[in-house]
Order: sequence, then C-alpha cells, then structure tokens
Amino acid sequence: MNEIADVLQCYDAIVNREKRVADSNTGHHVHIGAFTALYEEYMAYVFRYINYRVGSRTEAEDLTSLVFEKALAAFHRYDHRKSAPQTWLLTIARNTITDHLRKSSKRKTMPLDDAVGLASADPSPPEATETHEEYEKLQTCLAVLPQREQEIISLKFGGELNNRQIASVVGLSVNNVGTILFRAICKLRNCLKGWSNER
Amino acid sequence: MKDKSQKQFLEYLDRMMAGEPVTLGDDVPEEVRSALDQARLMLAYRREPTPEFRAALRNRLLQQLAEKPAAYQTEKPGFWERLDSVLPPKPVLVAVVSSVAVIFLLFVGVVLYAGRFGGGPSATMTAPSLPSGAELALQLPANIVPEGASFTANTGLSDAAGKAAIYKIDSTDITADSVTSLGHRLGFSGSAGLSDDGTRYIMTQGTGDNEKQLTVWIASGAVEYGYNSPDKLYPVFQVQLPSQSQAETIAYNFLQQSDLLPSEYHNLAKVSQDTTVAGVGYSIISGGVAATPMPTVPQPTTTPSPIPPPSAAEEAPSPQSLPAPSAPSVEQPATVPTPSVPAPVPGSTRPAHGPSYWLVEFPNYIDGSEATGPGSNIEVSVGTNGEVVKMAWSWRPVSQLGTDNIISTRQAFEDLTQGKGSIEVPVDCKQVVVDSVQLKYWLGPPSEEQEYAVPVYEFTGNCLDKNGNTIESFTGWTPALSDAY
Repeated sequence: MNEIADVLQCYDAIVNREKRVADSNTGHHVHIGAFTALYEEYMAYVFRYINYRVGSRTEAEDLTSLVFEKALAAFHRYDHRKSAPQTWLLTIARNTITDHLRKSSKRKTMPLDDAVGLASADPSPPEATETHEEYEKLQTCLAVLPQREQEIISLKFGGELNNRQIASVVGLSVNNVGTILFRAICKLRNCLKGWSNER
Repeated sequence: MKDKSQKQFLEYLDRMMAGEPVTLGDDVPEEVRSALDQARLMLAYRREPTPEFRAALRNRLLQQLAEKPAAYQTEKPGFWERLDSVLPPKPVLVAVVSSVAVIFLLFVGVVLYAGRFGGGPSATMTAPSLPSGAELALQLPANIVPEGASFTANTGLSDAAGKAAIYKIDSTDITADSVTSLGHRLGFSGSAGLSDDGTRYIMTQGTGDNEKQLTVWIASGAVEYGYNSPDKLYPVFQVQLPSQSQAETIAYNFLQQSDLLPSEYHNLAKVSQDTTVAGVGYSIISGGVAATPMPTVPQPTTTPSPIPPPSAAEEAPSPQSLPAPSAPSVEQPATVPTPSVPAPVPGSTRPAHGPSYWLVEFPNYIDGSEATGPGSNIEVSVGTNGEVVKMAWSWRPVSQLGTDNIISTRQAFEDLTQGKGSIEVPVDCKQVVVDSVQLKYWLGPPSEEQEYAVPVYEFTGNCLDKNGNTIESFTGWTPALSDAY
C-alpha cells in the first residue's frame, strides 16, 4: 500500500511540475506521459538485449536501470524523426554495455552461476526447454562468439530489431548484418552440438 | 549456395520473429533447418524482466523526475527562458526593457542586412544557420577496447584547433522508374520492385550462379550490383585477370556506361591518378607506388558485355564537384589481408598465389578531405576475364552549410583513449599504436539516411599483443567538432 501511495505522490508531483513548466511557456518540459509510454513499451526489449549480452539477471537489471536513467536525461533531445524509440534506446544500451565491459574487463565469463541461481524465479522461458544446464550452455556458447556477433545476436533476439535497424545501431550494412547473423547462429548451433557430443 | 541458405534463413527468421507460423518445405537444406532450430532456442531462452523489477524501476524514474525536474529540461535555457529571467517583474519596466530589446534587434537586423547586400558576406551570418551540436551528432560504430590496453601515438599531434566545413547531404529522389532505368543500363530487364519494408528497390536477372542483383537504397541512393554467388569473386578455377591498369579502365568504362561515374572522374587520367587498385582474394600489402597517368585511354582486353551504350544522364545522381585530391596511390598485391573483404573460400582449388579479383576504389573527397565510413566511396570488383562481378556505389551529393570549430589532433587522440570515439580491437590487444591521424568526413551505411556530413578524425595503426607483436591493424574515429560531446 505504501508503494502505491508513493507512486501516486510521485505522479502528483510530476503532474504539478509539468503544469508549472508548461504554464511558463518554455515549451521544453519533459513529456512525462511520453516517457512513461516509452518505458512501458520498450523496457522489456532493453532488458532482454542486455541480459543476452551480460548473462546475469542482476547485472542486466542494474544496466537496464542505468540505460533508462540516461534515456530520461536525454529524452528532451530525442527526435523521433531521426530514429525509432526502440533503436534509440538500444543504442544507449549498447554504449552502456560497452562502457561496462571496458570498466569491468569482463567478457561474460562469470555470469553463469548467477543464471543458475536465479533461473527458477524467471517465468519467461517455456517449461519444455527451460533447464539451467541448457541455459548455461547457451550462455557459454554465446560468450565465446566475437563481440560483434554477440551484439548482433542480442539485438536480433533480445531487442527484436530488424536487420536494417541493427545495421544503423552497429554501423554495418544490412547485408553484413544478415551474413554475421547467419554465421553466428550456425556457430552457436555447432557449439551446442559439440557440447552434446562431448557428454 | 551459402548465400542462398542465408537468404532462406533470414526470410524464415523474419517470419518467425513476426509471430507467423513457419512451415519448412522439403527444399529447405539441413543447414537452414538447424539454424532455425537454434533461433527458436534463442527465443525460448529469452529472459523477461520480473514484474517487481519493472515496477521498482518505473517508480525510481518517476521519483527522479519529481525530485530533480530541472535536470531533465534542456541543458541550455532557451531564448524566452533567458529573456524571462532578465526582465524585471514590474509591468512598466517590462514594457521599457521590451521596447529597448525590440529597437536593439531592429538595429542588429539593419546592420546584418546592410552587411549581406552591401558589404559582402559576413562571418557572423554563417554561424546561426548551422545546425546544433545534437543535430550534427554522429552515430559511429562500437567502441570496444579491452581494459588495460594502452594507447601510443607514433605520429605527430598538434595542439592547434581549427575550423572545418559542415555539409548538408542533398536528398536523393529514388523512384521505381529511376532504378528501372539504371537497371536497364546495367543489362537488367523488367522493372524494379520495393523490398525490405520499402527501404530499397531491387532487380534481379539470371539464374543459379549467374543470378545478378541490383539494389538501390532509398535512404541514400547507394547502389549495390553483382552476382549473388560468391564463386564469382572467389572462383574455384584458375582466374584470368586483366592487368591493374586494365582493371582501372574496365571499372571506369563500367561506371561511365551506367551513368554512375562521378564528374570528378570523367578524365581517365584522373582515374589512374586517384583510384586505388588492390588485388583481393589471397593477400596484399600496401606498396604505396604511384601510378603513372595513362596518356591515352587503353581498351580493356574484355569489356563487360551486358552493358548497353550510355544513355542520357537524367536518372543519374549528380555528384558535387570536389577539389583535387592529394597524392596518388596505387596498392600492389602483397601480404596483409584487407579487412574489408571476405576471406577466400577454404578448400578451393584456386592457386595459392595471386588475387582472384581487382578491387578498384574511387575515393570521395569533401573539402579536400577524403570521406570515410561504410558509405563513402565507390568500389568496383573486376574478376576473371575482366568482368565486373560486383560494385558498391555510395556517393552522397553535398552542399556546404558553413564552417564550425574543430578540436586539435591531440585532443582527438585523448578522446580516443577515453573511449569517446569508435575503435574495435581484439581482446588480446595490449597496446594500440596510432600511426596516423587524418581529418575526414564521415558517411554512414548506405541503408541509413544521413542529414549532414561532418568531420571526424580517423586514426589508423596497429594493435600489439603482450609481447609487442602486431596482431592486426585498426581504424578508429572520433568526432572532430568542438561541441560534439
């Protein structure tokens, strides 16, 4: 109940603030409704993309928070005519992950423990395929791919961008994106097959 | 074959991602089936944010908005906000100050008008017409440098800042008719059709290994032409290549006959002087040997047969006239792999020595500086028997808007070391050695619409491992404009 009260209080403060700013005729106020809609619509894509990149739910949550804080700070500069909101948010997410990887010098070598520990709390994967072991294998195979391939796979399956949008985010041609995507998927398949054969 | 599988996979994947039912026919190879199975697995293992996290983050963001609203307004107050803070509160004073302001603005207007039409161009006039820093912001590729890698400049860096021109990229009017017309000049029949959600026009011709495709991107007007089969670039038989100078001539003829030759290159001697020819298919090194301009136009041994004679230039893009580029360079076949081309097909019976095609590059110069980026030039691949097997044409027409301040090369280098630019080096790279810094103009992927051409600093050099051995070369960029960050 307290949480709901807090949220309502926040909304009141925001609505008042918005009204105040709008009344001052600056025309530069943050469109709260628009940002909230953006958050509700695209937050899951950002989270899934980040989770593919870092493998750990905890890290993914931290980084997703950071992405939306950055997005909020830059929202007044966002121009929907230049890029779709999904592309804009995933570009911020991509840069955030690049910074994160550089600072932590972590190339997805340790998040599997985290994945094992938390997978049961995650309702999303279908039960038929959800096993911690298989998830671990997939993350391990994903982690050994070159960064660019990881990035494109994550933008495709996590961010659900089409190849043209991915091309604009990573600065490649659409044909190159298609080629890298196909190659990376085949590599993942071979990696998982190789794993099965070893067992 | 690989290309066909890839195309099939991407088509099925798009349908799968769109939630459409996907039933694979008997003609779908195992490779594609297997890749699609993997794609299904990727989707099945996707992890969703928990409702708790979703709600908590939403609350936190709303709280931030409520507590620090000013921080989320524009970074710089606008004119009316500043005026509002300057004006005194009393109505009479407001009227007086407003009147003074109006008179002052009228005076400034008169002075500017006189300067424009009486006293020649004024430096103060170009600045207000320039777009803002945010509008000129670049979307450069990823910046991926392993932690602990050090940067060294093996070239002179200057502390001097300066100015550089900013260009508006003129819009291109790409229509089905203009693409069809181009297709006919390139030997295609039929009409161009829209593809990929209306982002490009496509024409195809031929079947099997001889199937060719023409693509024109609506966003940029960029053209891609060539065989779909990679065997044309990497044949499994002994290739009969023309000489380098013949390859230049073939590329020149091909562009001219298809009305795609930029006006800067209408002189073949100019082509010899400025284009770069590199043998691709096994390995090359940069030789840096200057070519001797050809006094006459030599005919190639084999000209691309399907191209009809040149037609009127009504559909051709109209490149801007550019200043004369700097020193000529022609690369000789040698031993460092080119990063921009795919590796040879493993297991091919092609001889181990010699290129399988010539890559003739026509650089684009803007304001005397070479353009860089994925949509910055024309590349014509001349294969066996002198046939043009591939062409990537990206030549955005530009108009100068004005000039803006740029940072020094030393500042740009520091930006690069601080991760403010774009550079991707291997994980085992311990030392990034910059051998050269050049001011260039960034032109993005052909699939993307780009409004402005702005300067960047391009860094080239080598990555060294922990033993100081060269791993590979790199190219990196940082924005050059002073207010880019």
